[in-house]
Amino acid sequence: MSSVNVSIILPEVSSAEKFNRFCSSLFTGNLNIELLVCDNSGELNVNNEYSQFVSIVSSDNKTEALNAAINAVKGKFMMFSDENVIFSPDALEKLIVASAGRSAVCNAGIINNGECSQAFTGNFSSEDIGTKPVYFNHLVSCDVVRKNPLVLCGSDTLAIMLFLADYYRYDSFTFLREVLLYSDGDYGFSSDESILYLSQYANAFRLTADTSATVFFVSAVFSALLPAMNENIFSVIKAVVNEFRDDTLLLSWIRSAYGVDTDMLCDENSVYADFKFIGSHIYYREVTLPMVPDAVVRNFYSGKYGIDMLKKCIGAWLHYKFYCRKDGFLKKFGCKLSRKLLGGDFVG
Amino acid sequence: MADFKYLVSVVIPVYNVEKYIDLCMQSLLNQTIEFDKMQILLINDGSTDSSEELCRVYAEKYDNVFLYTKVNEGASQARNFALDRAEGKYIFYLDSDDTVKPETIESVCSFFDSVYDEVDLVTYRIVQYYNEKPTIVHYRYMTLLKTGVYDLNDPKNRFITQTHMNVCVKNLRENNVKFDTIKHEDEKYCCEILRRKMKIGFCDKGEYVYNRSNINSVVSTQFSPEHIFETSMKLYEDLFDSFPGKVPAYFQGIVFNDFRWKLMDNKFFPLHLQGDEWKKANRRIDSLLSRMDADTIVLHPSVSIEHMHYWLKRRGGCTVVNTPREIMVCCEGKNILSLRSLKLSKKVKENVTECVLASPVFYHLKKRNVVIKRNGEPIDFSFIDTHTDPEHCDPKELYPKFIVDTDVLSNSVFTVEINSVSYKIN
Repeated sequence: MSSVNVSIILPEVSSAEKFNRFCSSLFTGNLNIELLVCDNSGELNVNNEYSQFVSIVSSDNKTEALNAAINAVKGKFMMFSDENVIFSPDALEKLIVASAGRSAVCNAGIINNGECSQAFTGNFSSEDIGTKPVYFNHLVSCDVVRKNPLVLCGSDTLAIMLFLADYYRYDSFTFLREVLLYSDGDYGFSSDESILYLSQYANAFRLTADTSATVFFVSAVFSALLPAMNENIFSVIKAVVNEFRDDTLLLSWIRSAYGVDTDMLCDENSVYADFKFIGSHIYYREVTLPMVPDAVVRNFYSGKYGIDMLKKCIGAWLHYKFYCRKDGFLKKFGCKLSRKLLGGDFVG
Repeated sequence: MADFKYLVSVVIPVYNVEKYIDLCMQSLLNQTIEFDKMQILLINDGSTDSSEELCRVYAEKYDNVFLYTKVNEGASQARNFALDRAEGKYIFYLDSDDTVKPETIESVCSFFDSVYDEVDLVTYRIVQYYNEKPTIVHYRYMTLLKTGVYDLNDPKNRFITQTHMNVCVKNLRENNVKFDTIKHEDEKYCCEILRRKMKIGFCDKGEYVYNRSNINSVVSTQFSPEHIFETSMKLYEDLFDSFPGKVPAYFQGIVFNDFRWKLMDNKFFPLHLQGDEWKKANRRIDSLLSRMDADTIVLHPSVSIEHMHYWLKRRGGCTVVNTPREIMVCCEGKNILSLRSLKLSKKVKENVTECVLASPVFYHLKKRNVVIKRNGEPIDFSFIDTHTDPEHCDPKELYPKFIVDTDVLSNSVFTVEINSVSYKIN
């Protein structure tokens, strides 16, 4: 039986003063709280009155340490936090009540140069929570984390945001619009490690997530990557957008929220490139992905594809269908016929 | 309106006001509107001085002045008695020791005609006079700037706090809202009328001259906590409970304003209660405060900084955010206090000096969050935590205090640690 109410995971500690301040605001109420601190240096010495509630998780690799902490939590709820955070006296109690046993997210106050402002506007929703690197305001259920394959793909801010977005594929969340905690840290999205995993995440979200979780994911990606645009980031963004190329509503939302020309990112050339890619794979007998027939038909009717291109697409699709059949006459004949339709690009 | 005999009925409860009643009647005779358009209802509430005779003179001279004499039951019953006999389209209330300026009734009525369907109550300026000198203008006139209809659902109108009888209401005959016999009857009456439409009219012309020189007036005698605490708490609890969700900001403003001035005048705490009753009373106060927006307290135009923090601490929702540079108190994502260092106030008493860290930041802290050091060594200090020690309620008593020998004071450097972060004390 777990008697711990909330497990707090602190990805790093850099200053003893801040850590003590963090602890004095955390351990105030009647809740049973455990604090898991990831520390790779082995130098952290928890020397305050709360040391009995603190465990240190260390590993050479920070991501591994964080994932170990996620595996080790004993609480009913867990929360990622930051040493710059100050909890208001009844923050966790209020979040637990609001969560109704699942998960809840509150507003946060951001302190900058002696001024405090709200991280989100009063009526913030799933469209907003991904836009800022504020991850320390989400209280999530440990049961959901344990039952589903949720892991951190890195130790940067974006990785934690992706973890939370991923969490929301499996659970609904309650918005508590009160400001329940404050932070005076320097915030920026960091995304060095997690950028490699974005297209995988995008695929998972396209296939399984509802709109609000997808919007959370997409806005975290765009808010983190757009300010640091370079060639590499451009191709990552392109891959993410392409994943959602059939979701016209989402694409138009991205266009209005981030000013990204989504049409350009998934234009005819890239579809044609995919098409050629599939074609060449047919040649090597390593078919991985079928064309999306809807997209072809839509592009034809909107005038993007000419009749020749349509023929090629139908050929490729038919070839794929035949290719996937059991070996035999039908497969051999079908492939031959469809290769003819495909024309000169493909040599079977 | 053809079916009303008069344009207005003026309700005047009369109780031992022989010095003032002539002035009151004179102000009505001086109105710019024809006197016979008004029905004057003088309700003698069992006066023991010559008030009744003075009133009778007017009643005999004018057909539209009516005098009724009844046993003493208080102003509310007297007003209800008059309401049953009111035959004017509009009803004004006037206390017999107060007066109204000449253009008041005409201007208010003509404005009311123009917004008749929109509002049930129109207010006009009230000015308090002590010995015939006007006092400062009420803060509500920072909101009520010009003639018009004000939406009480709009938070910016939260401090209109209509609690006096400087009002004109529609005569709804048998549907008139009646006065309760309890104290705070004016407040309750106005609230009940206003909540129907959540709108109030304000007429910029006219003035209710509120005479505070009369020491027999109800307001000056009976507002001590023993008399009023239970009644007002019940009234406010009923008011708040009548809203299942959020209490409209206007009504929060009414209640907070009452708390505020009573604390300022030392009339707030029911100090006659003890033990569990005292604790229960405090719980009731806190539960009303917890249903108020922080803005109702923070934005109130006449609450002192010290009291504002005291009330916010009781309401909850404030967090002390201490960065190494400064100490801030934040409430709902806004900072409401920001300090770089703390001041020590010293009172020398012979050999020892009493030191007080008088900053409202301490209202939001508990003793365990605070360490006071002299030359780097922690020292003993007293700091009342109202959670464990609810007997203490004077905001001035809730600061950390300590005593040092006067002769070591000159070579002492004091610092305070709040949540493990250290700050200078000047």
